[in-house]
Amino acid sequence: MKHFAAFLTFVFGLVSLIGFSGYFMMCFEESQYTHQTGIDYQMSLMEMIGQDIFVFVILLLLFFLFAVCYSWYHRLNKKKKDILDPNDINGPFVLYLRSFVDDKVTGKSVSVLSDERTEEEVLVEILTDIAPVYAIGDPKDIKMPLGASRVYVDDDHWKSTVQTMAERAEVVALRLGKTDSFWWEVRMVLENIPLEKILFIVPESKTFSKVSNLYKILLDHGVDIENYDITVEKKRRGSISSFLFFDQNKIPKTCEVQIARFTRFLVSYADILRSTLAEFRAMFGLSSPKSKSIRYSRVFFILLILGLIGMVVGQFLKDYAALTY
Amino acid sequence: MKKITLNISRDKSYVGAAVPYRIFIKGQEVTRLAVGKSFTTEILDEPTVLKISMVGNALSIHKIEKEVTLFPNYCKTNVIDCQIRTKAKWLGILTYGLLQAAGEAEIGIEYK
Repeated sequence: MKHFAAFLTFVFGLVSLIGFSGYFMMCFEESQYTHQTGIDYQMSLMEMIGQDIFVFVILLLLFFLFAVCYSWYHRLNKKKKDILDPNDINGPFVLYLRSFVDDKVTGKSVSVLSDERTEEEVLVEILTDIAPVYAIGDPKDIKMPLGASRVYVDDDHWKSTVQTMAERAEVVALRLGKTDSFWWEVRMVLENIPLEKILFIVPESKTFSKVSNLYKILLDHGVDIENYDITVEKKRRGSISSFLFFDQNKIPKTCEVQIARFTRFLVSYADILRSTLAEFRAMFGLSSPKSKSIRYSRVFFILLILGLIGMVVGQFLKDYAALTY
Repeated sequence: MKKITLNISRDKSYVGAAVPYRIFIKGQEVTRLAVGKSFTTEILDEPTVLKISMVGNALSIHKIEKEVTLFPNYCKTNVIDCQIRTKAKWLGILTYGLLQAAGEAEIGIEYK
């Protein structure tokens, strides 16, 4: 299946690359040719009206198929399950804890056209700036999901493994989930880990049940987040809605994922998460993308769309003018 | 304060092979690293940010760069080895870097 996906990706990629290159060359040469031959060529366009747009639409479709196949191939690129002993991890690391059921949500592509990676891969890329990311693997995994490296442990030892790893980790990232095991992990982390090492990832949700659970547990541990605005709204990309962390003085900080319109192809999801976590990253001396890039991206994106529309409409009008002439 | 030896080496990947990486330590550019080359410097025994950024990023929409925090307290022999790898991103290559970067920089860190 993987080879089939690779083959389709190669075919669609090659055809769309040659097609687009040929199309733009044709447009350029056509204008030169029209200039030289004038009316004869314009007459021949009478039979071609609309065909240029059709070719362009077909090429866009081929490129979309290439992007879909590439994303499919990427998702099939999972590694075999690794037998990794937590004691073999010598350097610093980030521990990523979540409900296993959420692996399906975070295993989806962020954006088929602009980023073939899964949401977990993007999140791991951000956290890898601090240290390599490890997670406890779901025993039901046939292959290792893309993203964090997995440590597989049996049911009898998972609690002790999670606790040992959490105590050694530079950062413990917890994606709010529904299962009892996850909430045990939250309690364990709050009891054993300094607050400034904890990062809560708040996914989108229709209810505040997960946040209210967290609120109760944090209150039991002497942390009140009642006056902090934690959003659970659905965002344009990905499933993460906001983050909650604590600064060096153990004061809670929340940050909402903000995705600007008309920046889909030009501002990556990784950069969006980096900007969102700017304050958290600053605790490790890491920088974050400047916000002015959003303004530039928006202008560039609108110009790009207008350019494409202008090119297609111009081609159509040229054919139409030739026909009426 | 104790000094830590930092070895940085770049692999021989063909992606961006013609362009060097700018190496920043704590925000200061210390050198430029061509393909297959390596560089050694000393850093203080405290968390330090290492950033690599490909020359020419200012002209591209999506940048090939990576930033990591180094934790020298994990060293046993006061040496940190950093391997810079550059992976191709086909969607980026095929779209001339319009939809995503043509490559992706990775830094493998080994605390010795």
